[in-house]
Amino acid sequence: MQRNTMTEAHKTKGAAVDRNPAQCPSCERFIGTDAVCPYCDADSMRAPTWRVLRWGAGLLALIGLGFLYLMARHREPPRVQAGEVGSGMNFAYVCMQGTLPRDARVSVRGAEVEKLTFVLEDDTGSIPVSAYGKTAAAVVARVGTPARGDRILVSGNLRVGPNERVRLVVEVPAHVRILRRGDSAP
Amino acid sequence: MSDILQVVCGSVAGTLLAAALFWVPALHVYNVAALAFLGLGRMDGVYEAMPLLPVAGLTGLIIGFALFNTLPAILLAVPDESAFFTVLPGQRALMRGRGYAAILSSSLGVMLGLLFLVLIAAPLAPWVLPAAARVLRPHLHWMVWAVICFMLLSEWPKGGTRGQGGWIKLGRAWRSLLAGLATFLLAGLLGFLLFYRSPLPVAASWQSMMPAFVGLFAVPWLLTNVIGRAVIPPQTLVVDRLSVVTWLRGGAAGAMGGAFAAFMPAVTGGVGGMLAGHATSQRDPREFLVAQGACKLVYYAGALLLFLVPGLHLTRGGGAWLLRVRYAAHGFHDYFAVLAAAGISGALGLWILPPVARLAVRMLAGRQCRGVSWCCLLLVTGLVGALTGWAGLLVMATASGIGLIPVLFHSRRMNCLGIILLPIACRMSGCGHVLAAWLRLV
Repeated sequence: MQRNTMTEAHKTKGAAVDRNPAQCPSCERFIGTDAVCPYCDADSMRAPTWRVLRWGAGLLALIGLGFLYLMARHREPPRVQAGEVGSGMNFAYVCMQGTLPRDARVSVRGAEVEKLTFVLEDDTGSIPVSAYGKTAAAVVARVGTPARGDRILVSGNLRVGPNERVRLVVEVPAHVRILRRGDSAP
Repeated sequence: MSDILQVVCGSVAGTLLAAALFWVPALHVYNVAALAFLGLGRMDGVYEAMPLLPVAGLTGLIIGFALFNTLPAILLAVPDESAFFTVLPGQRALMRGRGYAAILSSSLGVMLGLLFLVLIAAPLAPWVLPAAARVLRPHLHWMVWAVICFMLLSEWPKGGTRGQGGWIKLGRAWRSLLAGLATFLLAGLLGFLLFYRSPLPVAASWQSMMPAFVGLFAVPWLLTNVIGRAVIPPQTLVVDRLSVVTWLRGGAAGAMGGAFAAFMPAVTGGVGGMLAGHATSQRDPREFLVAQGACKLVYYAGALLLFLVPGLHLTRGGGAWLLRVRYAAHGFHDYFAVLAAAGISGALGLWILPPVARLAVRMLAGRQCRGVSWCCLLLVTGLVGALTGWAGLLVMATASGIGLIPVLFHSRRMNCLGIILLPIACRMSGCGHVLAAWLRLV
């Protein structure tokens, strides 16, 4: 359908200022938020800024997400040491490397692994590492139960608790790698 | 300093700070609280010598936020006239010159929510909630999915009701619905990026979600105020009588929604209020305003109290996560101390809200919101840049694009909560890392 042209009265700036933006400037029916009148196909004559903003918002969202995704794909989790961790790093996803001073502990309920915990020690200090539920079971299935002397590379979320007690929580089973087995390993 | 003095000073200071700050749009209580905790942390020995002071102060801030944040939410949210029939009752009241009455209706809801929390919920919580948490814990993941499904499915089309039938009319009807779904999915994708491979510096991780939330909710609001030429209409200080039935119905609905949102992970007060509104078939706009106030208070204060409930110590909401870093709950003594702080803060806040609201109405009525909105836009941009750097600004800009979609296409802004709902629901269901691997983030 061909768009109706505007009446002369509505082309003047004064009329546009007094006009109710919820009404069609051509047939004067209520059109609400529609950009084009559904009755006579006339343009709603709203400020073009809003239409530009609609397209701009969508483009900004998609392009921004694209850049962030590319950044994420090419960014490894930052490597930190136990002594560097502070309260500002709460929720950070980091990578840590160290040795186990003692065997890991596996909590089992029935036939299911409930929890895996071990301490990771490096030159600057130590940090407890935990995995829960299915993640813990998958870690044990993939690499076995880590033992004293094992050198491990692990990535996870840092959690800072009261009195700045810190622990690392494993979220992805594949992010626990045993680089070198300790003396106690067969 | 004795415990009683810590509670009184902390709650009074928190409430007064809230009164001074939270009628500035776009400032959120968790951002201010984070900065306050950062400042206190630099003062040696404060947490050890006066452990209840920061807790009481946080309680005062939260209660004050629930009260004073209503001011910008109503007075500085002027809709375009063509969108009048899709806006909230608070905005409609503002356009009819009854913004002051709307603010007081909401504060009555806050008062009812506080009475519910302090007199009913809190005394029962130590005996009921630990058992409820044990029963519900294995089911929380599908409950979150149910909330997501209801949130998306309950949105109604806001176009396609006029003109001749056909594909064009169908397209107009689905435009806002598709915009809502796109908002949820794009926000969810952003959430996955932030959860698994955040671009923010490691030292800024404690505020990892701040740039995203500012971009999703604050920037679109401020930007539309800056671009639009809407003027706050003249306001009257006359207040309608509110019937007790309306007050109780609204308060009960809001308290239910707030309590549900406080307990559930990833579900915020807005979602809780929406669920309660549907559950109680709210129609009266004043009842809606009362419910919003009650929901906001019960959600924010309830989430903090859940951390302190003896035998429970559930961490929900940004306030509890902030507190957890520095403070370990010590049983009933601290629990009732915080309840006392809540009561003091509520009483003080409700006493000073009416004169502050009258002052705000006199200052803003008849003016455009552009100037205030420009200042606030610069303020939040500066805050995000200072705390999280250029990476945070990029996240904020991306989130702003996503947050503008529901505003410009007239869909629900609540869909932006996909940023936390989708990743957390996937993680709770055990498929979070599977999806992240599919996206090649891990």
